[in-house]
Amino acid sequence: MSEELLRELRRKWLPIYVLLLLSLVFVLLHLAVNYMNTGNTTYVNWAIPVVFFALYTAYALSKLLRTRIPVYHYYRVIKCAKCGYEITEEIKEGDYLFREHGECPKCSGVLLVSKIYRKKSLRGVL
Amino acid sequence: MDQGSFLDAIIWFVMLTILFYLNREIEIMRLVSEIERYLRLYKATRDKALNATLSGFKALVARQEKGKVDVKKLEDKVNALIEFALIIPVSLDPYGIVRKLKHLLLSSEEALKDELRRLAPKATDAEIENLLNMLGATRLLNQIYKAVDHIYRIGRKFKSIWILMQLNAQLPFVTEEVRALEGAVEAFSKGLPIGDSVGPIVAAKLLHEYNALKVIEPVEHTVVGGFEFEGREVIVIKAKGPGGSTGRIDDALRWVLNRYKADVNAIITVDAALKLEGEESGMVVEGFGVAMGGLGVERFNIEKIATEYGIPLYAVLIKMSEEEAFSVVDEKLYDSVDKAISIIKRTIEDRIPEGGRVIVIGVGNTVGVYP
Repeated sequence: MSEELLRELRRKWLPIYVLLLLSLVFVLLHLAVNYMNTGNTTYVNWAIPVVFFALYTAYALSKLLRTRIPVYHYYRVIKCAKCGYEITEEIKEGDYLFREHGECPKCSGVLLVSKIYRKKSLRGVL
Repeated sequence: MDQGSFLDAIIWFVMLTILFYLNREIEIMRLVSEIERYLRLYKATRDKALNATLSGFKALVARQEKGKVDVKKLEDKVNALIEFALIIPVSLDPYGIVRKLKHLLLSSEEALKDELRRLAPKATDAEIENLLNMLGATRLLNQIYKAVDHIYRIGRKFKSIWILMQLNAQLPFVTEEVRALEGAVEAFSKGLPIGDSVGPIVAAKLLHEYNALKVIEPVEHTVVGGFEFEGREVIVIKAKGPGGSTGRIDDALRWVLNRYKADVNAIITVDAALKLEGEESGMVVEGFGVAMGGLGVERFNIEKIATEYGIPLYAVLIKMSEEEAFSVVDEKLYDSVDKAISIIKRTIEDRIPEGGRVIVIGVGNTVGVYP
């Protein structure tokens, strides 16, 4: 789908999730320290929903970090029909299949663009 | 044991009703948010395609008019072209519907091309065809976005969970189509071959492999070439490239049959076909009939011509997803092209007698494929 939109969504949510998770961990530590100092179980009662919320945030963050955005590269294969010599390189503007591409450096035969294709690679979040 | 009062029962009943109501409301909220997410993606894709189409026009016009481009006028024109409607002929009396449809398609295509030529008078035929295809893909993306948005708004307006659920169930299929069209805009803007071009690639590869030097254009946007293979004459028909065109295959077939007085032993069509989710991309399948998609006008005519002269119809299909069919061709599909060629050769050897004649038609969009 529209890669720009995915990137935008990712940019928007990544710092929010990180900050939220850090804050929740900080609150959790604060509650734990208070409980250890006072022995008051109210801190534990508050800690339970905070743990669940922190776990959910961590899950959402990990899902976001696992997002892979496809990046496409375009290549052409130039081949000599006579001797089979071939080279693969990135496409140039105006390329099309079976376009003549000069002389073969090995046998002086005619070079043709025999393949034009797209290769997909996946890029991570960071 | 305390059985509870009548009031308790009433409270329990009211709570249950509220719970049911809330459950339905939450479900509507969930559906609305999911559909809105899809709609945002469709809108972004439509806008991206529109920008790419506009950039294509601007670049072409700027190149010809040396930088002097009336951007506002151009944008208005492109926006108007994206909104144009094609009204399918009335089919209450189906007699002659195919001819009417063909006339409508050809005349609308010509009118659009003329419009584009007026905008960019010095553009080549290939550039005009690629722009026309980009415009077509953008127009479809616009229509999809508007149609989904319409159903969503109706569903929300009447708070109809059923309309929203039906729309939500359709969205994965719609998204497949949107992805495919997004890939098409990119491919046509660069003028590179797409998955649907496998038919023309097979035809062009055969012509190159057997040095069919004399390739003619007897019918507009369609080329015909011939060569000899194992004592049989092979006539190849394909749309004329490297512009994005599907040609006028039926008219070219009629021309070839008239020229050879219908002395043809078989017609073999090669085309891309949509794979099912469990099938592998690039799978090559043999069959009988005409391998050809679209509205069915050309397929109807080819079937009619073949029936008229009693010529057997063989088909070779290369399976791929909708996204692959409209995006720049994948490397592994070239292996399928070779497989399809070997199947065609085997079919000719097995089913066509020596001294016979066969027509091979490379069906599909020939963008980025020469000749």
